[in-house]
This record gives sequence, structure tokens and C-alpha cells, in this order.
Amino acid sequence: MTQNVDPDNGSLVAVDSLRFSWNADGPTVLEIDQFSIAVGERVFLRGASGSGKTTLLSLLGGVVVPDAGHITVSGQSLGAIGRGERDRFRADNIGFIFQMFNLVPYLSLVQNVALPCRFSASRYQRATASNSLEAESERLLLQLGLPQDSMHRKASDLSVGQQQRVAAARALLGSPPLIIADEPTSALDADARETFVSLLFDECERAGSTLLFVSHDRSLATLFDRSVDLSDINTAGEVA
Amino acid sequence: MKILALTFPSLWNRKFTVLLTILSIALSVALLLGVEKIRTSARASFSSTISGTDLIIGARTGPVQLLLYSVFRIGNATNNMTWESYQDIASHKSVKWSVPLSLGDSHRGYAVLGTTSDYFEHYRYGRKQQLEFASGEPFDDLFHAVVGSEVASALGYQTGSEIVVAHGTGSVSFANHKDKPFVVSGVLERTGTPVDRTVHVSLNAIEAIHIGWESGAPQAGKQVSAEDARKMELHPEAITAFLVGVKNKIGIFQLQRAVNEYREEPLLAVLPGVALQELWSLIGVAEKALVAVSICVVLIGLVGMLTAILTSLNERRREIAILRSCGARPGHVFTLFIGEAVVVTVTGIALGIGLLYLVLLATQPIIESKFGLYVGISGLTPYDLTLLGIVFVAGALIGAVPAILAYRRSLADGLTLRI
Repeated sequence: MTQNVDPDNGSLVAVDSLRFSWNADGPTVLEIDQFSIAVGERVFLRGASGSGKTTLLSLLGGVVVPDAGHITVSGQSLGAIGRGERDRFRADNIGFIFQMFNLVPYLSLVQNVALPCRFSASRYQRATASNSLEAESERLLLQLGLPQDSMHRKASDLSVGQQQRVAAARALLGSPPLIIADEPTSALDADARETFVSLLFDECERAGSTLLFVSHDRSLATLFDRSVDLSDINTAGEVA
Repeated sequence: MKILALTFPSLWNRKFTVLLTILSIALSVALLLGVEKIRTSARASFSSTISGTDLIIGARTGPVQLLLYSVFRIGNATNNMTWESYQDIASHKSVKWSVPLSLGDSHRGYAVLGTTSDYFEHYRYGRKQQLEFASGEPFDDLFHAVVGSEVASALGYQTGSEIVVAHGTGSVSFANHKDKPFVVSGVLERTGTPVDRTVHVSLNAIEAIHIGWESGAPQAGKQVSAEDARKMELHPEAITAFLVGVKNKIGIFQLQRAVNEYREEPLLAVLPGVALQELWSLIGVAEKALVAVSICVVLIGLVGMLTAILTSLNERRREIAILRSCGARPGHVFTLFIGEAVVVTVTGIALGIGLLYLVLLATQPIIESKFGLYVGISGLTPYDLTLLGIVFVAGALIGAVPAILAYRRSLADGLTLRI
């Protein structure tokens, strides 16, 4: 698998002189001079609620565009392409795991995991390079510790911990270059958190994906290659 | 698109609401098609009341009136025409056959028609079908009568029954021609036309029962017994109208003009098809109202679907956000919603068609026996298919409303819901 790397600094994600506010007249919520993530890196991004975490993730995912500055993901400047292309880019390049409600309740585990491949041809190709889509989905689910007999059960039948593992399997399917996990462990108990994170690490390594893990829980930070506090890089509000 | 594969599990997830929505659309579609079927059947049965007759000729009146009383036995003739004029026109060179009709008497609410035995040979209905005898044969005696199938079944008559004809056309009459009873010589097969509700006797019989009734009521001292009447030399003075078949179709208009310009008395000749058309356009208003009502019912069914989908929209915001985070573009969300509306509409239409035929199969004999209307169980006509096409397009258009809303929300909500 080849990854497009930003030729300037060899990073997968590069944020440069970014400024963003939700409304034209509203306050600036995010102002980041420089922030980058290297290929294959596992970064822990800490931030209290309301610190602009979700906004930053929306920007990285191309859901919204910055008022000023550049965001480059996997060699693609997100400001340079239109909304439809950003949607497509996100589908091809980023796997998301959210805090909760990650799964479509009426689909089975396997169907939920295979969901991104409905929307991204490149992830479908990568997922099915050596396996059928269903076999690859099942393999990931088993790797993440879900029992064999649950593969075709409805997602709504699972516990929250199991649901988060299914969400992780889905984010990893088709090996997207970037995995963004937004508070994926906050609904889990302490033991389950560490198990979840180490499983996520193993699979990211196997898939060759870079991981951006966002949480307010400092106790997990030591497990990562690098830990970043959002309040250290976000200068919005400091001047005022 | 692969997003459509989600349509069925998504609908199944809300199966109760979806099923009710489909059912309401199915019922409305079945009603629409049913009304259409009954409408066309009524029209077909109406226009097949008389066929094979080229002209109906009677004393001068309106074409619709002439048709109403001569064929449908509705209302009374304002004037009769003389026997001489009938014979004169019947001998016209282009006339192939003619059947005189004399109306004005009734039997327990059913019209009594005086005619000749040619009537059973030349009168045609539907696809030029001839009248068939269920039992018995045409009248060959002065006091013989042939009854239609409805008369026979309603009054319990069979060949050999004795009947008394009443003067005038009311169902209750105080002036009965009791002195001259008739014997049923034959019962006709069911036709679905006014023939079923008619008692047929010979022209001379009409004359016979009116001997001694010249003033309109029985006159003392002028009573004639049935036996005496049989011996009298009877010939009709006047008839109500007559049916004509021509030798050559080109002769129709020539003959029609000749009759309309007849010098001896004012007469009218009408083409049955034209008069039927005119009559139908009068009663067609009710038919249009029926169609309008059933279209409204379909609209209500579709609005029900809109309500059901719109109600589900809020609880599905999370589902949409999940799909978006998995890479679904707003276009996919739009497709998913409109796909569901299309599936619901199409299923509703299919179920509605099934329902229609089921109901038709079950009720066809009842409708025929109770209302004398034969509703044929045939395939869907191009017009039916056009109607269904319109329902389908309307369903898809209505489905576009929640689809557009979902599309807009998916843009505003982004990937996560702020819960």
C-alpha cells in the first residue's frame, strides 16, 4: 500500500495558519499555527470539552473548511477541492470512530463493518485485495475480540463496549490512511479502555494507518507515541 | 447505487409504520382501479344495450327521449305513430328488417312490450348477441308472453305461469286487464339490458287487452272475453316506435333523412350509437365525480406516506450521521429516502392491484345479480396503467420532500450529532 505523503515535511496531516469560526461574525474558535502528524504516528490529542476538538475533527474530515490557512491530509489540500470531492476524499481516506451511536441499528455486525465500502471504491478494493468483503469484515471483527456467533446479529443487540469494537473494525476496513477516533472509550470502563486502545493500535499497525485519538482522559496518553494538548496549539481566544 | 441495498433493511426496521403506509396506498389504489373498472363496465353495459339496430324511429321528440322510452323503458312516449306510417317506412327500399314496439302497459312494475316475434330474431345487444331462451319459445298465441330473466326470477315465473297485465306503467295499478290473463310461453336468458325487465307480448295482444278500454277505462257493456278477442280480427292502430336494420350501411342516412322529412306525420329517426353517446354525456357527470373522489383518496394515501416518512426523519438523524461518517454523500442520503418512498409506493400499487382482483373475484357474482352489472375480470387497460404511472410519479415526487429535507439536514449536521 502506498501513501501519499505531504512532500514538504513528510507528514500525513499538516495544518498551517488555520483560523476558523462557525459564523462569519462569531468568535474564532480555532486558531492553529502549525500542527502535523507523521505517517504511521499514533497521536493522542487531549482537550477539555468545548476546547474545539470536534471543530478540529470536522475540519480534518473536510465537513467544514477553514476561514484562513491550509489543511493537508494525505497530500491533498482540503481547501482546494469542492464539497462533493471532500466527501469522496473523506470516504476514501479517513475512518471515523465516535463516542457512541456508531452503528446502524438495523444492520448486522458484518453489514455495519462493510458499510464504508459501499461508498468508497478504493477502500473496497483494498478490503477485498486478498479476501471477500464479508470474510475481511469477519476477520477484523474476530481480531477485535467479537465472538464468531455474533457476526450476523443486529448491531442493536450488542453492549456498548462491543459496539465500539465494531466501530473500530469498520473504521479500519479497507485500511484508510487516517483513523480519527473521537472519545471512543468514554463510554467504556477503565479495563475495557486499555484493551480497546491496544487492539486499536495492533490493527492500525497491521493496516498501516495513522491514528489520531481524541480524548479528555489523560490516563491513556502514555500509551501513545505523542500527546498533544489542544489548548497548547490552539491560540484562539488568548489574544482577546 | 449500493446505498439502495440499505432500503429494505431500513424499511424492515420500521415495518409496522411502513406496512400501514403500504396498506393505505394499496387500498386507495384498489379503490381507484375499482371505480375505473366499474365505470368502464357500466359504460360498456350501457352502450351494449342495443346493437345491430341501424335506426330507431318514433314520433317526433328528442333523440334521448326516444332512446329512453323505446330501449330503456324509461318514461313515456309523448306520441304514438300510426301503423300506416310504420308500414310505409318499413317497405322503404333500403329497409332490410323492422321490428315494431308498442309500450304503455306494465306488469307489476315491469314494462310490457308489444312486438312481433321478429324481435327475438333481430334485437341484438352487446357484441351483436341474439336473445336466447332459457326455457320455452316465442309467443305464438294472442295471450302468450315472453318474460325477461329478471322478471322471471323476481316474480317467480316459469313457462306456463299465468300473469295479468296492468294498464299504465306504475308498479301499483288499480286498473288491471284481469279479464284477459296471459300465459308465459318463454323465459329469456339474462342479458344485462332492460330486456331482462320486460314482459314481451304480441302487438295484437296489446290491442286485445284494450278492447273495451278505448276511453282509458273499462266501459260497461263493451267487455269482450278472451275467447271472443281471439276470434276478432285485430290489427294495431298505432305503435310507439320501431327498430330498423338496413340492407346497406350507406342507406342509413338516406333513410334517416326520408323519415325526418316524412310528410304524413312528424317522425324522428335516430342512430342508436349517437343517441347513446348523447345520453351518456348526461349521466357522465356522476361518473366524473366518482373518479375525482377516488383520485382524492389516492392523494390522501400518498400524503399518509409523506407523514410517515417525515415523522421518521427526526429519529433517523443519527442513522444519517452514521452513514455520512462512513462516507455517504448527501446524494446518497437523498437516494436512500427517495428509494424508500418508491419502494413503498410500488409495493402499495402492487398490493392494490392484487386486492382489486381479489375483491372482483369475490364480488363479481354479487354485483351481477344485485345490480345487473357485469364487471369483467380482465387485465389492466392502458388507461389503468397510465393512472398507476401517475400514482407512481406522485409517490416519488412526494418522497422527494423528506429526501430533500434529509439531504439538507445531513449537510447541516455534519458527521456528529450534538446530542
